[in-house]
Amino acid sequence: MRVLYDMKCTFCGNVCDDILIQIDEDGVSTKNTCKLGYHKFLDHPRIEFPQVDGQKVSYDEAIETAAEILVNSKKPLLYGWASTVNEAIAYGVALAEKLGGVYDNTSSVCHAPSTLATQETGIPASTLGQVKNRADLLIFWGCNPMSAHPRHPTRYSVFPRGFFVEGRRKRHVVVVDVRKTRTANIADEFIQIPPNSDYHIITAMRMILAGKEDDLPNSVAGVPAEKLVSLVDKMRNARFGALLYGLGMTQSRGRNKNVENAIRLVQELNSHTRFVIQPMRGHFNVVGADQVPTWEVGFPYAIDFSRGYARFSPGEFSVTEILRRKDCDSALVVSSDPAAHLPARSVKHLADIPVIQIDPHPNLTTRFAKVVIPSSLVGIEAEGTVYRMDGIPMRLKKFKESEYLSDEEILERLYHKVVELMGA
Amino acid sequence: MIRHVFIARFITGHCISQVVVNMGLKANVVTGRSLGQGSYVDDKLSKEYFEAVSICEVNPEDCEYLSIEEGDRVKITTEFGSVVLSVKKNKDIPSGVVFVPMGPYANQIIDPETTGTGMPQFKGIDATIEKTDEKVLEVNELIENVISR
Amino acid sequence: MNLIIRNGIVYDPQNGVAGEKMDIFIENGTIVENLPKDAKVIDASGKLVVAGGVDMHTHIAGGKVNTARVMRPEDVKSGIRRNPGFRAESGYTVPNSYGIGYRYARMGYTTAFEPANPPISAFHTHEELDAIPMIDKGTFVLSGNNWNVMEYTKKGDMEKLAAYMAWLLNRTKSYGIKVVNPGGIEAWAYGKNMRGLDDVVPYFEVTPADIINSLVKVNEELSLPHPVHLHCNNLGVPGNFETTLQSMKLVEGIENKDRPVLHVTHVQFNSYAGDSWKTFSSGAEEIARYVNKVDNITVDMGQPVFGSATTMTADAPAQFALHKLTKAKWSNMDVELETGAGILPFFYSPKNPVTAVQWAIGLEIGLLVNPGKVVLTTDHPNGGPFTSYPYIAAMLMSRKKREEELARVHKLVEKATSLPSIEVELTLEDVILMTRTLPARLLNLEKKGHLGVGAEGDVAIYDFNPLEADPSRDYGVVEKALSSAEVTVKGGEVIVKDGNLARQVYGKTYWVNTYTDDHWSLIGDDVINLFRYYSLEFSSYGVEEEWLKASHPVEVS
Ligand SMILES: [Zn+2]
Repeated sequence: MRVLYDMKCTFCGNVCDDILIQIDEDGVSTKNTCKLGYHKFLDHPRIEFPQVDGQKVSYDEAIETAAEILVNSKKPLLYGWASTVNEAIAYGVALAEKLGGVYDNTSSVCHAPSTLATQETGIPASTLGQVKNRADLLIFWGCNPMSAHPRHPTRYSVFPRGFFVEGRRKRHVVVVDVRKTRTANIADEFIQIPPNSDYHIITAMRMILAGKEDDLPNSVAGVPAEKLVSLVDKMRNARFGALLYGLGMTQSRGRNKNVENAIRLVQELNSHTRFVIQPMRGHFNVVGADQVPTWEVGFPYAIDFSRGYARFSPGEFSVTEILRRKDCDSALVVSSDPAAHLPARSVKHLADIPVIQIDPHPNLTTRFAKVVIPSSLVGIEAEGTVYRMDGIPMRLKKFKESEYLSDEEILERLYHKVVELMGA
Repeated sequence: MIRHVFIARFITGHCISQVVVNMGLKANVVTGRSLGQGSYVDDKLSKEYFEAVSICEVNPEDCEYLSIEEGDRVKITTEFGSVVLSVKKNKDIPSGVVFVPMGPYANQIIDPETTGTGMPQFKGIDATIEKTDEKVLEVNELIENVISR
Repeated sequence: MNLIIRNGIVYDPQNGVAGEKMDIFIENGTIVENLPKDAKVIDASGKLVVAGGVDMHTHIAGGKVNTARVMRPEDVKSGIRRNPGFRAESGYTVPNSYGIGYRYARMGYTTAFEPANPPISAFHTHEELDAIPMIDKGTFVLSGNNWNVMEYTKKGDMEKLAAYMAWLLNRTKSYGIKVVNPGGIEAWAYGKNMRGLDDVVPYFEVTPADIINSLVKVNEELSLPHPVHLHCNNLGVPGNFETTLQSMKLVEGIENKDRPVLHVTHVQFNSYAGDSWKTFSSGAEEIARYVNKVDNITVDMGQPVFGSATTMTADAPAQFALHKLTKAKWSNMDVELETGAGILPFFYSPKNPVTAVQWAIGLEIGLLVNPGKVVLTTDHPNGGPFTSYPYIAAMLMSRKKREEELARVHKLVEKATSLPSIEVELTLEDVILMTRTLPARLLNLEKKGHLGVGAEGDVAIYDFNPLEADPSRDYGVVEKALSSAEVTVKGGEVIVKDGNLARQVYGKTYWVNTYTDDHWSLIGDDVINLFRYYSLEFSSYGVEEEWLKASHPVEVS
């Protein structure tokens, strides 16, 4: 039996790095994982071999066919990236630039509005340890870590003993959401707001902070004003507060404007006390999928290279829009499942163009992909670097050998094949 | 273009009043991650994944209003499409709101237009919910429908 | 490939060469004495030939640089350039990694050091350094607000502090010790700052002076190649030159025969007199007088240039103050147990009295400090992009150029600074000293910054004849030529030719390896104990040598 300590979980943006893995005749078992992590380390159906049009081929043949499709396209879309390693992403960005295609990652249907907000306001944030050591006030807004980042409350925010904050009893925890989530059940306070009312409510809170509470109506989008006054008081009087927000803000009406408003609220709070705001990023390396293209070409997502250099425009080059407008003629999908996670009308165009898929598991996109290339499991069978939700780099180790190539190896070969076909 | 009716119009006090239309209930759809959805996301063709994402969570009062029980089917319709889902009662969902786990089912009713942000509005979508006898499509059938549309 | 650079007019202050016509021979990447075999000849007749430039302080990699790119798409868009056969570049103050490498190469620079490496995210810094082509690089580890550093300082345990710093340099693959607003960033975690060297850091009960003293002591104890690299307290505050002088006086009597013991960085930002923005004026003369008097301190300019800049620093409280002042968009990153960061855009306008005076103070520093003690920098991109170095060089060498510029700046410069009356004109040799010889010496990179036998084959050729052009009079010609090297050679390879990219190479990453297991036995328990307050496991912390593209550890005796 082999026991491995401090392994990293590759499900959510927590990237928990204290996973214990035991390997014996019966297979792999884990300790310290949450429910999501537990399932991550179980065996799931695999894409068994490389395929072109459903026929079994070799890796070389699949990669060659993929390269030909990409080189012969006017505008290929290279999408996914949040569930693979930085080293693979870097090849993806280089490929997109070389091909004059589009690079987009899954944040465009996740926290990309946070990026748009940051472009307007900046973002005052911290690493997760700062929250653990100091935050005596936590506000979870439009996020439900108990279901989406299950160990966030125990490792980083609600429950841990911090250096300056002794533990759960010394923290006040507020949940603001449209429904009573599992996270609301562990909070001291739950403030229910109607869908699509975030912008109004945050505006009211900024007014209260600015001393203009008398100008407010008795209730704001159905929430009594005195409730908001009391919340803002708590925020102002915290020693160190953290506003942790999720897709409730980025995916409801207002989107980036909701986040922008929340960031401004937190910026203003810093004239009274210390306060930080942090998006609860979803996939284990969605941060890397933003960060790598940012240093490589200057922008995080929704990047078009058709002019030979990077242009950023989410209204044009995000996956949903580009598919809706039928503005790409092939797609390379890496470690994601757009067929399951995009609006049906956008999925339709994807099904109409040649799709190359690189993924360990069959998913809905596999059903219509022309070229399917199986890859090894990142953090289990393949190594590489990922960034946790707060940007802390984590190096993944592997603990199993695999007959499959890694995303990085596949993309490296694909890149060189494309260069060979196109010429330097 | 403002497609949505401003939600505050429906708000009185703490909860959203039910606006009755002859078809069923006018409601607001919120999609998002659930533990079940996340647990089986690497195994999308499994029964467990199907069961985790082909549901909608509805407040018991709204169920009563629609005369539906746990396990019954409802059809949710928006401007952008419709989908049939199994009902799960949940008292933690406010009346007038229904929750659908993110995934292929939820995506049948989402607007692909993003008002320049790149982000579809996955939450807070105006919809109509009604009881139905139609069956819940299997994941495969659902995706075939999209492809052949 | 072997090279002969023929008939150039060579300036090499380290070897006492100033404007001599000579040939430079490069064999297997190194400068040699004798004509190499099978060498390619580059004709440099009537052209300036110098060593590749060395930038010792430039923010080019890591979390805060990338955060700046994300929050400043307007900047990213402004520097677009297609490079057929190479990668595209973008950005003005925050270029992409390729842009950084290509622009340094085109300017004749072959080495650059990122001065702010937060330990917990050290590998991000290295990933970005590794993405930069063309140049050699290194980074300094942020240490002035680190909990272990403050604990050992409080206990006065220099032996353990030395062991800890040896370990930290090794874990983060860093080249030197950086101290930013000692104690002030820790205080900022609860909204406070350090206002004087004797302020007490909350909870840790040490002062900024204690932190500087102990790290300087340990830097000497470990014989590190680079002096302690200090960003003083009170940055950007009127009257701060007094804090700067006090900080410098802390190292009185501490000597090292090979190098200074303290480098005070981007000193322009810490050379302010007056007691408010209304009475804002220059303290540069006092700073220059002190630096010129002592032998153990050097500075770099941190010169502002008019136009757009992106301010980014670990000095998070200073950045919040700037945000309150300018209302510009603002990012912050508190880094658990270690440091912080603040980022916001800034604009240096010639018409704004404060920014005009900042501009003048930088030049005062450059002109009044002995050229052997001041390095030419903009604290890229805090004062503006590094691509402004030729402009700054031209101003240092030409009073006429300065007068032209002075004519368009706010009149406060005349009252609040001595710049208009400074007659000094630096020579070309001085500028080569400030951009090659001195920074290489401060980094103790013996094979950099000069053209002597044994040096690395890093050479820049500029298209003007220094024996004919007089920088004082022909400053336009000189500035233009320095902006775009005709040829840049890196490690014996021609990477820029006729001002264009010729070949993409990747340089090495220098770091100091002085750590031994004995160090660990002194500090291991303390380090492990503190890890319960980190948000990651001890085993996830740090950078392994094999993760670097081209690791170049430097052993210290
Ligand atoms: Zn700096």
